[in-house]
Amino acid sequence: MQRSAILLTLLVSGSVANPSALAAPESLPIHVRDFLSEHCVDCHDRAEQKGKVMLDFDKIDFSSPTSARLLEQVHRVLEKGEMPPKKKARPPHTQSQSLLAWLDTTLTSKVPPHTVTLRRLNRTEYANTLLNVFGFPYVIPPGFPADTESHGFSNVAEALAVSPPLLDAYSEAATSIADQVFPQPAPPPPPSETVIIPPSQLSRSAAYGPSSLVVDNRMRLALRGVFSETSSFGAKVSGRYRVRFKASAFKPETEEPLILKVTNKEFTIPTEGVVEHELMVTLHPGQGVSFSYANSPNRSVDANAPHDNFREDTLARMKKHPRLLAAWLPLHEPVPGDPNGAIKLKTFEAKGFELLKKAVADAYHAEFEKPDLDLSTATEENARRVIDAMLVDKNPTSFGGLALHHYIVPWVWKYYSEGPGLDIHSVEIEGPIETVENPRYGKARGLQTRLFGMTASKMDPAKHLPGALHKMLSKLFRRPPTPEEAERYMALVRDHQSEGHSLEDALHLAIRTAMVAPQFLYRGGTEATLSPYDLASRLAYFLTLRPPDDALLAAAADGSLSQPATLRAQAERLLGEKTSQDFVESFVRQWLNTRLIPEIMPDPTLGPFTPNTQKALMLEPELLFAELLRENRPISDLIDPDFLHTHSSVGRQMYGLLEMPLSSVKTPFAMSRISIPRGGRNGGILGQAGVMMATANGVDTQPVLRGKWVLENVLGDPPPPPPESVPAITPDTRGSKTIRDLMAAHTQEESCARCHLKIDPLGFALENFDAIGQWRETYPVAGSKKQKNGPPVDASGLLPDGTPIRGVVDLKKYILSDLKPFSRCLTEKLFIYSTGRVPDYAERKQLHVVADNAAKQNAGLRDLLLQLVSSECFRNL
Amino acid sequence: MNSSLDRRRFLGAAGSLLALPMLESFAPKLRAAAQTARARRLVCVGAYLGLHTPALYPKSTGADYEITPTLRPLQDLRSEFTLFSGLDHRAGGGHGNWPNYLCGKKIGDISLDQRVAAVIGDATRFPSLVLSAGGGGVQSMCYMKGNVALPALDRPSTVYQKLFASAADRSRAEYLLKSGKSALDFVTQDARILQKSVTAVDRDKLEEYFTSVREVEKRIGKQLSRISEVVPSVDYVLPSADPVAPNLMIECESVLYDLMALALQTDSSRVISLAIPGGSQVFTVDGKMLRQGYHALSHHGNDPEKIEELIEVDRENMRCLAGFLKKLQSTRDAEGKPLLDTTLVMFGTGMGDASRHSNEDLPTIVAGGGLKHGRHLAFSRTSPENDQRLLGDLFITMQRQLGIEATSFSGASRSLDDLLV
Repeated sequence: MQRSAILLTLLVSGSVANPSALAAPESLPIHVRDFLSEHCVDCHDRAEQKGKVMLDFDKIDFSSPTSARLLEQVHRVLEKGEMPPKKKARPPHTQSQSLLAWLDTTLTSKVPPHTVTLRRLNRTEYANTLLNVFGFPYVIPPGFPADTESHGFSNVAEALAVSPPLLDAYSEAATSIADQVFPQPAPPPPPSETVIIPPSQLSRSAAYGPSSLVVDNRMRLALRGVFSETSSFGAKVSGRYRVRFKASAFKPETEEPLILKVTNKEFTIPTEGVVEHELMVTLHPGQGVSFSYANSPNRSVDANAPHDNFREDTLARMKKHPRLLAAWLPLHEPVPGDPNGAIKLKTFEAKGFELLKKAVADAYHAEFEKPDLDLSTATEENARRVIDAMLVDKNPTSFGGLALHHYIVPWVWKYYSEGPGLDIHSVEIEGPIETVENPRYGKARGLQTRLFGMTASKMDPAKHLPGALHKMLSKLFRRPPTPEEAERYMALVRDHQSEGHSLEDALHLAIRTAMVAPQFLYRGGTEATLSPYDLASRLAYFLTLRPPDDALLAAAADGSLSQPATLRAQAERLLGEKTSQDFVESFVRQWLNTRLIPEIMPDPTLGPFTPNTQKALMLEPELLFAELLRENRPISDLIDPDFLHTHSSVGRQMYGLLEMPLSSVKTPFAMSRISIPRGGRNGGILGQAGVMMATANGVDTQPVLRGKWVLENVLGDPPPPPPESVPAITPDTRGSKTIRDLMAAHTQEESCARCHLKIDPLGFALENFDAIGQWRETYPVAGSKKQKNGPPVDASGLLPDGTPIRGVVDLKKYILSDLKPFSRCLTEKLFIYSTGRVPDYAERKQLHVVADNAAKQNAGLRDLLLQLVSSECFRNL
Repeated sequence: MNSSLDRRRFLGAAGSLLALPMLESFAPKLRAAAQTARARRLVCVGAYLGLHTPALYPKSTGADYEITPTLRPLQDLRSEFTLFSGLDHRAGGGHGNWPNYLCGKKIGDISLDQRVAAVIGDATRFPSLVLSAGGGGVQSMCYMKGNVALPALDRPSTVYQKLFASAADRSRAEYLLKSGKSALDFVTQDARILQKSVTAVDRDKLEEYFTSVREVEKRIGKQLSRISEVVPSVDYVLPSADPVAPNLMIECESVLYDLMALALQTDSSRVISLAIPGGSQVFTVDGKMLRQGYHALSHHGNDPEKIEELIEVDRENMRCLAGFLKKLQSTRDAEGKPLLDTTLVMFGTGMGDASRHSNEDLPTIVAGGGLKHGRHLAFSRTSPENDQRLLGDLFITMQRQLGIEATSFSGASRSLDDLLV
């Protein structure tokens, strides 16, 4: 481990690598030295360094970060009685107490803070900040370097590095934005010309199916809700253009005229004959002319569903190519107990949808290519059964839907061959008849006013420049510039102008400069505590992921923000804003790991998992947290609430809430809040499918990972990293060995047992949740995942303090019986998220006061958060 | 490898104005390597949906293989290329895995083109060009060191503009570079002021910032020193509008091939990649509108009607490729030799069978570059263990042909030198 190597260098007296950088090591008090040599050095001497901890020294450099970490570690294990180990002699209570007292004083007073406090804006904060400053979204381009996570969060200062590619990306963003504030002047307009666009160049298609097709040298429109654009024409300059076109109806269904919408004007096309029309349009660079069939009876969405004649068309195709059908048949099996002989696609053992698709396709191909494929099975009756099977389940992520998808998507053609449709015969575009101003110049003037208070053209540099730069820098730096900064930026602009550049270019440069300046890219303070402006930024990015708004900046300006009451009131105000939703989402997804859900590919044999399931699973903990925050409900409701938010089909499937209504594909997505009895298995972060899924892998559960997750994120007692060279245990319920048998090894080996006695029972308590968070009483039958009635799940265990638990319900009870650890854990997570760093010893003590009070009163989540904000450590650097 | 060179390359490909890349003097050692090279240029074309192999692979192997329906457009060129069947990266399946084509087993490992550009790229104005035939949202297939995906240029007019920028554009680019450099000087001062008032730990943290500024300044300096480099003038006429509509993809592909040939001919770049997306757009082939979208055709489910149309699209891709190869054949390099003789052109894919999303058996065509051509080389996973070749083995040989020491590529270490050199 790297850390211990540094420890040695820094702690062994006299062997400091760079003495000038560090204060001189100090001698340890005699009672400390005696304690260490009597009770610790046996194992933690220079030779053995058990657990990579070395305590054999008599001088220590308090200014070194590693010293602080080591002393904290000693304090922690001694206080909890984890060290010295049980089989060794217990140190007398008074001696332990005196060492603890010394450690406490030392860590509180002598050890300076050692964490990075300069905090670069992370990707989300950066994008939000640009949106806030400039008022339009900057799309982060592909290749923009990603942020590194630390302590489970993506906004921790230490991990947010600046690298050359990132600075390049920042420069690029700055130039692109400055170009929008000060666009280059438009080139002189080209002479007007007439372009004749052949029908083949009128059809622009993408995504699923076309929006128009060229048939018989005409561009045909058939669907409502989509439009087709000229694909080979784009205006060169902003201007007015004359469009002439010829159109006719194709196989109209009724006498009613068809409505053709050209860009933004509607034309009536009679059911018979070709008509010619003309209109004037305003086009900007790159824009073409669009056409749509506004009153088509067929909607574009229908094109992606099986159309009316799907059955007949597929039947005809299968009759024409019997091999197509004969190869599908062996992939089917009878629906058990169906007297009508219905069939369904066989279940394929595959982990993940992509693999499943491949498995199905591979099997189909294999059948198709069999030289001895039995074509006599390709009867009309069988064709009908296969088509029925396809139509049973249209969900594209299911087996039937899979087959359907392969058949349907190409069949949009039908709408274009059967009509009704609109045919465009020819299009002529003439122009520019006259030029108009490109809208980007108007937008640019707006941006200049937003940023500088006025447009550059109205600016008298001698008079307005200081104010204009002050405004711009205040926006970008999230505080007014210092007089020195203001002067330097004035000089930057003036110098650039005196080199012969325009005022516009000089301001363009000022924007580009400020956007790569440390004052813009970093937040954090330069003094012992945060300045009011830094505090405003901390609070704003914490609760809204955005820079401080005007009210916060005003409170910073008049100094009132430094008073805990004002800070608290501002926090309360921000929590009432809509933007606080971003905080809830960002914090909850990172704290509970639910951000991982979209990356997990659920095993389809476990049960249905649709895009709606995924959405609901991610929303559940967020809605819980948001409600607690909004209503100031007690923090114990995070563990055992009397309500839950879920989607009805998720509620039925995951939680067995069969009283929830059945929803169909057509029901719009909605989350419902329902009341549940307390003390049950459902509800709370330990009862939510999304949380359970995020702590598994979509295929099977690993009790160790879940147990570790609970220790880290619920109980705040993270275990040290596992020893090297021990393979992870994957449960294999197919064989005779159960996961419990396998993990019994953990408790036999003493070195494993130290941590695993803590980890494993927590993980086992959650074994009733399968890999997608569904409740289960039994494991699948060995060798066949389809059959779920295998060995029963045994979720019982013995917690380290001797409390026996039978499963998640008891685990929740256990956490509620002493809320302190959970409250401390949550408080510390919120602290790390809000300040971007791990608390040091002294701060942790303050946080414990906040958390312990909250636990004692079972405080509301909102109160806990506001207590944190008003605590002294929130204002530390 | 020098990281500043790397970054420059990245930006060159990203097409940023700030980063308009220019020539720089190159390390003599690498230049020497390039001089011993038998090939000087590399072009990698990647088709998202691959090629329908039953219509591509001949039944027989070796030099006397029969021309298949898909190969027909390449008929006249058969002595100039090699067709490989049975090679792949032994990587996982799925659409998502397509971009591993040039990376090997793992998406995000430095891709073949960028490995090559890292060595020979700096001899030209653009260390590498990363292109895509129109948009289509296909994930990038080119990655530089550090898992950085390179965005592709997908508009012919942008590519043209980048390659043969007008004087006005170049003077604006020069202005942005120069003033960008002074912006960095300025913020360095800011950072120094800040550094004085922060804690020791934060002072160390700020070093990242100073290092980054220095590196970016260095790159800008190099670009500025090349800004006066003569931009070749060409008389190529672009289509009046960019064929970026998805259904004009093949047209876009063909224009981009023209521009690629120009870039090679004018020695503007020696490493080019071109991605061919595969959305659901409906193509017109020989004036006939296909009945189904490209992507839908690829999921043919063995339906003969769909397969027939899919082959038509594949053949269009081969027709474009043939046009490009012929252009390189008829263009002479400084020594009067056909450009194709010293240019390695690969057409391949990360998708072996799009119908099944299978990433096994990736069809690959390699032309030119002084390799021994004219055969269909078939490989098999069932051959004895010590003779199983991977696509990475071909990549090793290609790199060596380009004068680059290469002994392994993503698990491959055997090369195909015995067959191709």
